[in-house]
Amino acid sequence: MVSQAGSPKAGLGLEQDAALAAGAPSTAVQALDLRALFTKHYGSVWRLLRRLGVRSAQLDDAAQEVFWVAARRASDIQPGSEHSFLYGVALRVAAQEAKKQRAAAPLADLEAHPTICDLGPSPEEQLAHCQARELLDEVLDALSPELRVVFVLCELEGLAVREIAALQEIPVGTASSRLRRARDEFSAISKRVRATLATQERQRR
Amino acid sequence: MTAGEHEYSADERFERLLIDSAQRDELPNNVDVAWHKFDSALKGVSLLAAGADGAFSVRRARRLLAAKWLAWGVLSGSALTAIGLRFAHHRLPEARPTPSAALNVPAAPISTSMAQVEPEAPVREVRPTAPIEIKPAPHSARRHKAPPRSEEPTPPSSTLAAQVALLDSARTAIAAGAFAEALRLADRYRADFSDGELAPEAEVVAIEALVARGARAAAGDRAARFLARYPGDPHAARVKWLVR
Repeated sequence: MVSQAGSPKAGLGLEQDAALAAGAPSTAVQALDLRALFTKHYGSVWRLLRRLGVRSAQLDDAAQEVFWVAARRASDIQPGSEHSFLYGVALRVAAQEAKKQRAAAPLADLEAHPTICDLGPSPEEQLAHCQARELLDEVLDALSPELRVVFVLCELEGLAVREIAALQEIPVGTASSRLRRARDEFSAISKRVRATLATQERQRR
Repeated sequence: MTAGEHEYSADERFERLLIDSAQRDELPNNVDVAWHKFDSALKGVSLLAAGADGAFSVRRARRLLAAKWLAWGVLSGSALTAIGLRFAHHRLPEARPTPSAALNVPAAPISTSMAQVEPEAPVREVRPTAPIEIKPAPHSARRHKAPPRSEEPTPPSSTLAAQVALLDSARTAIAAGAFAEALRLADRYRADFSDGELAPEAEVVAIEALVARGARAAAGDRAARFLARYPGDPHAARVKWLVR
């Protein structure tokens, strides 16, 4: 197989592929530098999928799945909206993965979470970053899927409510309502997690 | 500083700590490897498609590729195992390699990937009459209904689309660690769309970029202006936390 890695048109076998898939002649398909798209956005798509709850073992495959769809839909991606397109697909891929994961294993029991660090008067200063990140995953896992999506997109990805609504194809009011509920739930769960950790720490001492 | 005057409860600080921990999420460091895996699979699909008559199935092609790679992996693994056993027999009779471990080496990365594609995955059977099963993001689908495509990238046709594209670029720059570029893009947003609908988001991006660059004083000034101008904005809490 001849590598096209150094070519500016690398990956353009895809245009032929997309044309075949759509039943259209290849000349009608807009050229897309898929390699540039992949290189530029793979990281952020991969990270979004992780934040949406796709497990490590499935992350690479899920990210590739997003670009498979992009490859087949190359002619639908408007210049300047690649990021939004990929995020829209990533939401759907993550939803599929979440269904599989829920079927495979129950959510972790937050109350049974082991003490993972010392908690003092300023626990946030003592929690190691990686431990905080693990706890964030657990709190996000405890959110309902629809609330997790809006929370991640707003709080972690920094998207505006309007953008979130557009990505999910829901009314802005619905997105705002979900975001409020998501923040309330997140606060309640994180409060519970902190209380649990503090209790366990007191018992340990 | 306005943000510094706010007293956070321990629960609020814990909550922000959790959210902030995601700001240092690492990006995958194997993008080139991922690309080559993806590109190889694509080329394989194209070859299969070129030889197919009638309906073409990407999923079927990927399965065929999976079978091909699996077979290659098993054969290679077997060969490696044989070599390993031979080597162990002659040189290290007390430390024989585990056949299963050797078998897994070449086969796992690629065949596992392909095996993930199953019926409910987004890539489905493609038929000429109904080729679309996953809708594109509404930014493109609703606001750019089948515009003529040309070789040169054309600017988005709507103002909001242009704003989204500019913010996308700024966020992508932050994700890539190009904070100066992110700041430049956020400032360009301010110049191009002074009263744009996403102006608060652009400001948040600019503040994030400043904080990431270590320009805390500038970030603080900008955050104070943000909070004065958009006191009830959903991002206000985030801005306060960024410049805490």
